Amino acid sequence: MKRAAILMLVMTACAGQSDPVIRVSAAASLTGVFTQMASEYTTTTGIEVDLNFAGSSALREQILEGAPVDVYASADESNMQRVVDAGAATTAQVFATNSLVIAVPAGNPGNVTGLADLERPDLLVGVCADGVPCGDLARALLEAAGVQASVDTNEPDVRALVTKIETGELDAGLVYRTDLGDSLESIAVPAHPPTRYMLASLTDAGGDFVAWVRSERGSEILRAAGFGAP
Amino acid sequence: MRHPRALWLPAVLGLALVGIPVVSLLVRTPWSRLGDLLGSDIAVQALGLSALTSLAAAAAAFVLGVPLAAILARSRFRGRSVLRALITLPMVLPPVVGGAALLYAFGRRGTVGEPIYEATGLVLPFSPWGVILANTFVALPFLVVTVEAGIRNLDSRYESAAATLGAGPWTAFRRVTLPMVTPALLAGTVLAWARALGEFGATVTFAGNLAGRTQTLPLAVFVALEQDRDAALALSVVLVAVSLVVLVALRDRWWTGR
Amino acid sequence: MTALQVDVTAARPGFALDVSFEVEAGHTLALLGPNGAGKSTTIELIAGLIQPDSGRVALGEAVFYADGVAMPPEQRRVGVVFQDYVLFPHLDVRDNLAFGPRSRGATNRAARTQAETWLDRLGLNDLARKRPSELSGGQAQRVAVARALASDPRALLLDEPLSALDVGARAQVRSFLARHLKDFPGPRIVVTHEPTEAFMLADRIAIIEGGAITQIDTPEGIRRAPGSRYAADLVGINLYRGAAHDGQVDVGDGHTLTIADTGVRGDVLVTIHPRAVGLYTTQPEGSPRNTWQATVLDIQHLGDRNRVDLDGPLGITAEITPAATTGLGLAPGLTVWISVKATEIGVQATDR
Repeated sequence: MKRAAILMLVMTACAGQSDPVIRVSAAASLTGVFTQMASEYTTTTGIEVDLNFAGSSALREQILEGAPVDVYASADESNMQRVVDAGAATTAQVFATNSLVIAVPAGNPGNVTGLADLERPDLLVGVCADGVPCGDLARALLEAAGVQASVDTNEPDVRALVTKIETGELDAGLVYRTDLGDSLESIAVPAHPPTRYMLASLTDAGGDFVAWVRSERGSEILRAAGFGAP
Repeated sequence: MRHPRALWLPAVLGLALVGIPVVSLLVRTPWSRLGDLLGSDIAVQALGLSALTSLAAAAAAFVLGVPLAAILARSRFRGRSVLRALITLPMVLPPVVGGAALLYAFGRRGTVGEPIYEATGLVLPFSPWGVILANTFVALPFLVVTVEAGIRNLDSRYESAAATLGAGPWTAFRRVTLPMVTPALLAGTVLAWARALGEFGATVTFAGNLAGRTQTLPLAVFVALEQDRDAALALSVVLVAVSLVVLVALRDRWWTGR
Repeated sequence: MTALQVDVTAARPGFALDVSFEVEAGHTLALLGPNGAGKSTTIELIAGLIQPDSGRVALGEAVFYADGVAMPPEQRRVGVVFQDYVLFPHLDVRDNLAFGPRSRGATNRAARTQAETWLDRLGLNDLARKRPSELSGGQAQRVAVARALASDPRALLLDEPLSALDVGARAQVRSFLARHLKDFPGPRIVVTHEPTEAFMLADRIAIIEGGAITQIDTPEGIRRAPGSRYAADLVGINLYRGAAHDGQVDVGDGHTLTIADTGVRGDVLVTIHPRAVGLYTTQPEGSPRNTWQATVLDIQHLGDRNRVDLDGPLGITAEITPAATTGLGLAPGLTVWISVKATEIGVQATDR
């Protein structure tokens, strides 16, 4: 009787270990779409997907320090390049693009009409911090447009920035088009080279998920959320 | 004293848990480049801002905390334990939650912040004042707890003797109570200052992150961690060094306020 | 000057305090009683550190407490000397004394001058710059008395001033108090559980038991007629002053007592418990060294004991059983022989 119980215990433990899980590290701006994609993937294939969202650079650091990740989705090329250079990934492909807009709280209390308004010292303006792709893109955009924005905060990730705009603590911010959600209004900015989202499978296990993201269904989800085609 | 053998292993493991990460940090630090790294604009601004805001927060914690501690220590009203729990809340609250709460209270659209903004145009977040506010919020309980213990341990007969000699409550407080709890005052202030210096979550959530205005040392480390690892290490070493100096200076006056 | 009037009730854990007494200016009242009788509580009530449930406390025109309204302690100008000194440890002796004047608004310099005057008057100059932690018990208590006096009080309360001291210091401080208390013009109260202290320092003694005063009288009066068993046990003791030398004590009028201690000399306090006094109808022979003739003045019946008051070269009170009283045929006017063993005589030096 006792031996049977011990046997069952061991088998359950082993069984738990053999369930496949795909560990995905994805840029913060992919939170909505990847959560949806992962859930559909699991329903279809029965394989669990473990999602880890953060700034692309933070994720890059984790991978380079040896974190066990199967799939890496970055919001720009430079972070992915460093992962590839380090040998953690062999190939990476563009799978989506994203561009910036000026986000303002509902009602546009700051009366923002364009990039030039961001120079106004009375406005509370936020962008993403150095090294976060959203922020780098914003700074490139501002420089190209010759605008000296009076920035009040460099948020460490884009979701924090969005929250501050939503609550009205900031009057305006440069965020991805896909981050607008329902409560923010957007002001268009001049055309600019979009940020290219890169996808790479770091292990064999991740390949299947990568393929799924790049499939018809995956692309459909991305487009619906506002991401551009690769 | 002879320690039971069974205590040694857990004690050593505990020491290792704390010691090894600190030592690893020191080992990875680019000592030769320390001067350059700490001399960069970002570093200098972060160091200056941290020094200023942490000291201001410690001062604010002292001015607000000592009277609070005195009242908690000597009064006997119902709900006193609830009040004490409230004061110590920032100690256990996750700092980011604290920052969010501060935003809801003192942000531009906050309960108190909005009327102030409408009336005076004053904006607390995204300014050094916001940093000081966030730092005081997390540091205040440390001072209150330490000083309250000190006053509680003080024999109230000294204050009685002072009264019989003609000292009113304020005079007795100033000339008998406070001087007799100087160790607790000191320990409490230094603890509050150290806590303010290391504060991150509430600061970044409430005050934001801008070099020279709101980017304190911990924030600079966080941001640099992903860009310029060496800079992050250099700034981290400064924080570790300052913390060690503080703790060694306090020695065993930690919590007892003796 | 002004008298201190106390008439209060206060409920405390364990007993209910209900006392009423008055102390004239220039007089010392001793509050004598066992521990837990309410003596310290009475002091705290007068000082204003706690409030009574009802009653009145006044010092002359100044009403400290009446009809539920209490004057705060810092306004009462009542000096208190605590059992364990309670000197401020962070101030030296001089600044401890200066604390009172400074609290009343004197400048630092004026206060220190006043402190130095009192230190001089009480012979404590060489302690001026010392810290309380450097003082012995006897020195600390004397400083505490000086501190209370330096605050220029209108009344002085001493709560068991000698209890925390060791035997040597006790004698020293008692003499100090005996000398300096009588120079204080206002009313004074000394709380104690030691009858010798009460006898030495007070003009009148109030015996307090279980929260109530059972007797107020002069020390002589209490010895003659103790109002309770406790009073009889504690206070109804024979007490004399004398000069000791070589095992003898001159107690005045040429009468000499032989004592056991041959080393003590100088001014002493002699105590003989009534129970130690033996009475005989004929001159006793045997070991007791102290025998003399006396006349019975009065016999008091206290339950299972009788107190016999005797006249003679040395007035004395004896305590014997009713059976012995009858056996000896004692009655006022009868002449008897008294005998006291030298070993039964207590001797305490009064001056150091």
